[in-house]
Amino acid sequence: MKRREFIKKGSLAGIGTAASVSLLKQASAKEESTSAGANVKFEDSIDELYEFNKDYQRFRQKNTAFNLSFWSGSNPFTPEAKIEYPTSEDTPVKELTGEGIGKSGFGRLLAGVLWKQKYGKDPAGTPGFTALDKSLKDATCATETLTGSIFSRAFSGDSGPEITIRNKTGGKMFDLPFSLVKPHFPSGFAVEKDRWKFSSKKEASQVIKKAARLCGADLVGIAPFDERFIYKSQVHFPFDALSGKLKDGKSHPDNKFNLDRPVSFISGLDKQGKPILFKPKSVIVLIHEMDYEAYKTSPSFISAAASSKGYAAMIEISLKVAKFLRGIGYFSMHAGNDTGLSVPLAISAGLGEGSRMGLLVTEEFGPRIRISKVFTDLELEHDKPKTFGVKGFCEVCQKCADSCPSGAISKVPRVTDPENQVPNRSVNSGVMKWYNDNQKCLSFWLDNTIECANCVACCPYNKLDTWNHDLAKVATKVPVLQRITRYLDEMFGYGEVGSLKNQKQFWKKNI
Amino acid sequence: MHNFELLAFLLMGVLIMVAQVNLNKKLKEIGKAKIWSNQILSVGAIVLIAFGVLWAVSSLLEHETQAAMMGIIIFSGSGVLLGLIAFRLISRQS
Repeated sequence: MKRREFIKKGSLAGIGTAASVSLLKQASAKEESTSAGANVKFEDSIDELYEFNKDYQRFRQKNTAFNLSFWSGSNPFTPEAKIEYPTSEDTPVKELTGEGIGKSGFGRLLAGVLWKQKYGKDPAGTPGFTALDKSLKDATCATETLTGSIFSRAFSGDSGPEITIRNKTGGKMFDLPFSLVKPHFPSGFAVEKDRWKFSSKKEASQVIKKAARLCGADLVGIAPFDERFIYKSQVHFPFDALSGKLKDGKSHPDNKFNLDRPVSFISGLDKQGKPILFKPKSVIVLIHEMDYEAYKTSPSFISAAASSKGYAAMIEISLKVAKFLRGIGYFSMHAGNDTGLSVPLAISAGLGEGSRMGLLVTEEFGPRIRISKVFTDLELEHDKPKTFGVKGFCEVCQKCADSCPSGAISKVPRVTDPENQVPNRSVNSGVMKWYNDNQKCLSFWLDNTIECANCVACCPYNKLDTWNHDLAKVATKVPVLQRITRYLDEMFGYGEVGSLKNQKQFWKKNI
Repeated sequence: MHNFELLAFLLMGVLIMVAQVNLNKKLKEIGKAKIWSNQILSVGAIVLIAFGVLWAVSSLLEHETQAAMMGIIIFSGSGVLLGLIAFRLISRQS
């Protein structure tokens, strides 16, 4: 090799090495490569990622659009009201009597009454809404129905060894053992006296995560217990609320609505049947992936079936993790959508980021997930909240807002102080995010006769966890490519919603 | 990774190698192998064509036919375009 050539090649090699070392140093400071392949920045707490107002108030569960539809005074979710839901101020509160439960719009949706009204005459006529599709939806939520709905804290009462199941007129049908219908109080799931000793918090976290994955969780993270994300009060939802009207004084004490029940953490019952209360130190957050193919048919009964399967997974897997913890001597309580806000807890657990549509976006599955959590007094090493560019990408993308049939998703930039922008009380205010009209969203569900998941289905992050999508996700982090990424996503045919073709073809595709 | 996808990756790896070896041989024959632009353009063209095919395979396995077609058009198409540019450049050099 000649001298000049040697100097030239040596210089190039030197520059290359220096650049590599510099990049590596930058990356090792705060960024790590994750399983999804994108570079991720970690923060110490959720407060470093999201700005909370000083007057941030804990949210009352009764104000979620779902719960509000059951108890709000003039009941805007009745078929008569249709989708003309007030967006600036919601309806005045009427004292709950329980009379309107079976008649409420959401109750009618869950019971399939709305479907029958719209499609009953021709149950095979509309793809995605046929009797076949509806039966699939009903089947996937069979276990959820058996154990009680988990969008509220069903059966979180603290009395009685058994539950009376009543018919539509309030008459007694049969009694079920406490452990069957109150899965978070199963009598056989006692807390062992001898506690398993872990050598460190890190080891404890490793063991819990391993157990959670084996139990069926697709992702698992651990968050510190943060009271801000626990409901200020929660709704107590009786078991037979959907099947008929309640008769006070005649039904079991638990068969009464309570809209403002204080949140308590209960790890089973003692020998006298009284709840064993505990103070949580950690929250184990579990992620359950939902079916990609089924979600492509949104808004239909098929996509709703995938969602219901997710709900069933939530209750089953979180219950198993809670049982595991009790088996090694630690107090635990599992939860679905009840007890606290799942999205900020999942963000704190380092599982994803908040998005324009208000849902959690994970690196692996995007927003096509459900979240459950297990509260425990076991001290664990907590995961760090992370960011992988969702906030920046959601700001320019807006595909979910454009695909929302009810126009419930915000099309304006994120705001910290949502004064004058909060559509109604179903929105938890006081944090920098996009403020969506959840009541408007639910109103479309009633019109549609079943839930809608268009925002999830069309999201560019909603992809299968494969090499080509991991590669494409890199573009969502580069500001100049963000806008074009949305259009490329559409050009490539991803995220089409309301597709008759997808709804027709679901049953014909290869298994 | 799906078995079929894995097979496609392996096959594409072999095809890239065979194509590159042959191309390099041809360039050497006509004495153009030492020109960097020729090497970069031809390698880029082969890799892009292969990338488009692999994208299409993965998309078809996901039942995303439109994505598969777009993958062929955009990635493999760019590869073909790059190949044509390389061919024109090499022809002009002679």
